[in-house]
Amino acid sequence: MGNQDALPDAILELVLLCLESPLCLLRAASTCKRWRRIIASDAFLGLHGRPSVVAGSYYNQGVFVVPRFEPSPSTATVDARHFSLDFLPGARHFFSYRYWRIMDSCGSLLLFREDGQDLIVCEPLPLCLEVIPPPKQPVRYRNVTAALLNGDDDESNKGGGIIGMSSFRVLLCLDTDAGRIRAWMFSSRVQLILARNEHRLATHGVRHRARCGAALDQNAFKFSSFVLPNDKDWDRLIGKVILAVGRDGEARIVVHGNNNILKIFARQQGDGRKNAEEWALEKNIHISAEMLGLPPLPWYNWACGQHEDAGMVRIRVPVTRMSFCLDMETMEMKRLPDVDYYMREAGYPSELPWPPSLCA
Amino acid sequence: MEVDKGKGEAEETRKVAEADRDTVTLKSSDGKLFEVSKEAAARLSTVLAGMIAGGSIDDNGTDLKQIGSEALENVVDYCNKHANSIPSAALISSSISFNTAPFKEPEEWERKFVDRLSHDALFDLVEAANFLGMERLLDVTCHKISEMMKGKSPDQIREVFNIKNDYTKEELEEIRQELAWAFYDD
Repeated sequence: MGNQDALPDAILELVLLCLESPLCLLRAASTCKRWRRIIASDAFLGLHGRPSVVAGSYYNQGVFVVPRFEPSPSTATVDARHFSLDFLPGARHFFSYRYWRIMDSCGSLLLFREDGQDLIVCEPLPLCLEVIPPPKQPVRYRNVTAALLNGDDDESNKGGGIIGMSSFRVLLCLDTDAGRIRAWMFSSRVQLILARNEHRLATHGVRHRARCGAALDQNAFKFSSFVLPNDKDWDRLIGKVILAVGRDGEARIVVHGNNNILKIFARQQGDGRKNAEEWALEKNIHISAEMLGLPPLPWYNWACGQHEDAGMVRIRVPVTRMSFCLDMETMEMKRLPDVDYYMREAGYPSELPWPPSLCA
Repeated sequence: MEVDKGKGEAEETRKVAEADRDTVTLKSSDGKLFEVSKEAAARLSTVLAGMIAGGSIDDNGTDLKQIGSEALENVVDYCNKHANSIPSAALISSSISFNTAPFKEPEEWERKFVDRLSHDALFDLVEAANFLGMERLLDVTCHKISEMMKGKSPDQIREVFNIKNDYTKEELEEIRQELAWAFYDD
């Protein structure tokens, strides 16, 4: 044969479908026009589906410093400098006195809160940015939760040449003076689809005031309010609340109280009376210094946070670089590799953009 | 005793006859003949299954004019190895779910099988698999070919696949600028 480019289109298409990474597809598409025509076609992109290739994670670094990007070791094929956030307004000026805090990430998009009240959605690779002005009705930004969500599901769009920036929604939740939670939803001007992110179940929107809260299930896109049961320790609980996913795939509410007690609540089955869901205490875990293999430090409160894996909670020892992973079921404690200071909080994963911006 | 022996011999000849009917003979474009188990051929190739069911199998060699002898030898080799290496239960379930299930990673022996092929042989085999409707072999060969692109720059891919670059200089520059992040800094 000799001329290997003579593979028929149908077979070449099958071969290219095996390439998962948008990066590989873009490079293949730049070899010649025939390959590009196949890759850029709506049919091909529809068949391929949205791959989730995590390029790395962003970490908040505190006041006046732009969040830092850390490439993921498995896919470190794109030069990290392309993920720089220097293009954010004012980011280059050292004395701008502005700060940006990442609130969420989804696909290849990031959601920031600027210290003014603006929310900013951006996509670092193609350098796109959109500012979302605050709600018209003046509010005080207290206890802010903001989440980035997929655009509306719309079957008519199967991703032909549309970038993620044209399709997203932003949820903003605030505590109001009246002791209520108010939520706003902002959507991109054009309502198009971003593929669902199956692995993010209910990780946003926990608000709490007294024992009441609201949670959002991102997959089903459903709000639910919840009431945590009365507890004799309740008064002493400081209100750090995180939402975790149990081994069974169901949500758990983890309340981190004084004396390093973790209270894990599970949703009660059935009985959907009224709007509020009932949650029952599943487990009390007292995290002692001994469990962490540390000398007794009675005045310490560990910081706890979400862990990517189901059934796990992250426990961090303040000031140090030490962190642990607690298995909520077996109560096993595993030490995680030490992390640098800037990585002490959970990172925000960022995927490569999809679909590839190619013209047929 | 004598009678028993006769019975044994009769069984022997019947077995041979059965074995005869258990294979099909395939003829490549350059006239070479290959034997392959009828069961494996019917299970792995939708086209051969159709020919067997439709009775269009020629005992003297079924003509496959589109397939050269080297590719056909590989096809037959693959069928035999497939029959030997996978427990039948797993095979049945995998063949049922072929159309819906996502591509499963190549097994160790499948990887070795495609790895030892030369460039040309691999490209001929993928076309033969496509022609014969051999879904699994098509998956495995396509997967192998796609791996030859991974981690390569457009220039390297062109070299491996012998592709003529038909972009103009201006078009290339435009692509490079727009997708700067997707290219190695060379």
